Amino acid sequence: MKILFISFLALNILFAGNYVVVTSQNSPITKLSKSAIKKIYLKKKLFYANQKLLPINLLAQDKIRMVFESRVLGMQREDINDYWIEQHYHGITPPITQKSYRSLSEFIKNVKGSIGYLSKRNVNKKMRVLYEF
Amino acid sequence: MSFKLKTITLFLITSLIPSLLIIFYVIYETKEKVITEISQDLSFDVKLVSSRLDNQIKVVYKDFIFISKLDIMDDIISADMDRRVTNLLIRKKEDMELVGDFFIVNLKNKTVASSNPKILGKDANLTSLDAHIFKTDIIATFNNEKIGTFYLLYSYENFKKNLKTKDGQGVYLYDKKRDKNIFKSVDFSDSLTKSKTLTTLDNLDLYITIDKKSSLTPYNEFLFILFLSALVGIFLISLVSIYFASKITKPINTLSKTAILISDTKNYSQRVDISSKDEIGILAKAFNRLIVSIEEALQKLEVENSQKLKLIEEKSKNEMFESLARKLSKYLSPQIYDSIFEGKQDVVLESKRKKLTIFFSDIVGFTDTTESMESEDLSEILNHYLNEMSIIALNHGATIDKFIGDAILIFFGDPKSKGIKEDAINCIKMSLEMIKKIEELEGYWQDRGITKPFRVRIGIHTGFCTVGNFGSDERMDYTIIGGTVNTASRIESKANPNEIWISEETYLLIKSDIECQKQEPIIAKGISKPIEIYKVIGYVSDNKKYFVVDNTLDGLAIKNSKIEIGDRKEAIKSLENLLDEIKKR
Repeated sequence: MKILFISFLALNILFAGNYVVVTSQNSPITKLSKSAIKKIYLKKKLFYANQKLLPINLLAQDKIRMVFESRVLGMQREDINDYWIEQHYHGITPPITQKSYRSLSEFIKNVKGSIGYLSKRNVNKKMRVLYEF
Repeated sequence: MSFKLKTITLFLITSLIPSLLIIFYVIYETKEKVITEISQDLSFDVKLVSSRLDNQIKVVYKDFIFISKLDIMDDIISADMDRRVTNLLIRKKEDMELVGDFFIVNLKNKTVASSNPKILGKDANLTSLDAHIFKTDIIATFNNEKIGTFYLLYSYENFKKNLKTKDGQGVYLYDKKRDKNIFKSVDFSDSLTKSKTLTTLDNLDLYITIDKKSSLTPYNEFLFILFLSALVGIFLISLVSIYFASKITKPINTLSKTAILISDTKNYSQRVDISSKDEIGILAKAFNRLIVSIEEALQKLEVENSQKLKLIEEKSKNEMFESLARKLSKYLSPQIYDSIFEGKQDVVLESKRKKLTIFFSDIVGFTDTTESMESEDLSEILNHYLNEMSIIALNHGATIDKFIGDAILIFFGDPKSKGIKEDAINCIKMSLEMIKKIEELEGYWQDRGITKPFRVRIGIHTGFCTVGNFGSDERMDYTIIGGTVNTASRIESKANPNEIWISEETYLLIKSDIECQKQEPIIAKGISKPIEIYKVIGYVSDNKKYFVVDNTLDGLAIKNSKIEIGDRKEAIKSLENLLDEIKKR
């Protein structure tokens, strides 16, 4: 476990700034701070300029998600799980997930207010980068 | 019809009527009930199967809806690029062993996910199939907006597993929209059918049909068993009936056989041996008692009959004896008759010496008088004479010994005797009455052609003689023998007509009562000494005397010659007057 964690930290340092939080070009959201993104992904912030926000996660075992949770949310997986268990009883569900960056891209393209994260190299013209991590 | 047959018939009728009624009831009533029952069973089966189908559809629909609401359905937005939904549907199809397919079309009617990957990216083809299409909108989990449509093409084949029912039943579905029977494999000519519209799919009617004939097979088998049981029952009842009828009628037969045997053989010692304590036993006891009574009555009757027969025989014998005695009485003197029949004198060859008064009479010139007469007339005249004499003799207690032609032998003193003297007087009295009677009968005989009147000689002698039965054991006569009899006969032969001559022995006995006139002694053949003779004149009395006038007086005829003299002087005077009268004439 320690080895895995050390490896993860090394990768984290090595690949810092290679991932971005994106939304669609037609989205009214132009820029988001790290804390705003955290609030959105923890579903504490649901609207932005009357636009309902829809955070999208990658699958739990996806390495970008692990980097996102570590760098942007600043929370360990256990803490996140505990958090969503608690929110479950308040009727609040975790963000939806997409398996691949392609489906994530397609989703962001088709759903207004949706926000996702992916590798910087996979960003296309229909996306607007809101935050890099 | 015999009692046995009647009993068997009664048994059969009483036992078979309920059985036959049950059989007929079963035949005419149970069949409808069975059909109703089968129909109800069919209705129940239809409900059951339709319920199973409805439950199946509900479960499928529930799963269908459940799937449609999964978060993963949000992938429709990204056209299921990661094929997460498609994979899910494939697994679900496999799990459900589904015949048919799930498929999801997006808002552009493009198939974006399906359990059949071959149709991905194609337009949804919902052409008519033997299937039901479930349809629901897919709503995005995050904004409740429709992001696509979820279809389930549910083949009717899926119903097959729940369309199973009992053997002999045909189950099929009818699609009302398409007017088509589904899974219909049998078509019975005569069937019972029940149907029900599925609650969950109102275009489908479930039909369950059954062949009426085959459905009634258990009923027909039951009927067969029933008839077989009835036949066996009839057979057993018949056996039982015959057994009990025989048991009942056996004592009756025994009773009747015994009655016939008694009737044929007249053997009243026969008894019926029936020990049962029922009514037959009581009847047998009563019968035995009756036979005992009859036997006793017969025995009593037999004894009485025997006694009566003896009485009748005795009576008959008595009557015969009486008849015989009456006949004999004509041949015997009443004294002898009475003496014999009163048992005072046995009919045996025995005799005794006894002093008797013997009477002999004879009609004077009887042969000359009657020689010109026919024998019938002679018999009548003689019999009349003897009869009249006999009456007089019997009236005086005489014993008539015998008639010898016109002669009569009579004696006094045996078997009854009033004493020697009284017997002798009675003999004289009898003789006087006989003379008188002969004179009286003179006119009667003249009317019968006897021109010369009868005149009799009478001789009487008293002495010892032997009296009794003489002859052989086979033939005997009660008579008297001895010299005394001969003497009486000789006196009679010497007597004058219509005179009564008596010997001195007799005279000495009667002289105080009878007036007699001494005659010349007679010499009789065989008698050594002359016999002293007296002629009877009449009775000796105070005022009355009898005398006999001889009618042979010259120039004078006196009829009815007995003259009674009351007063002697008056009599002489009357005769003198008569003499004067004659002289005058």
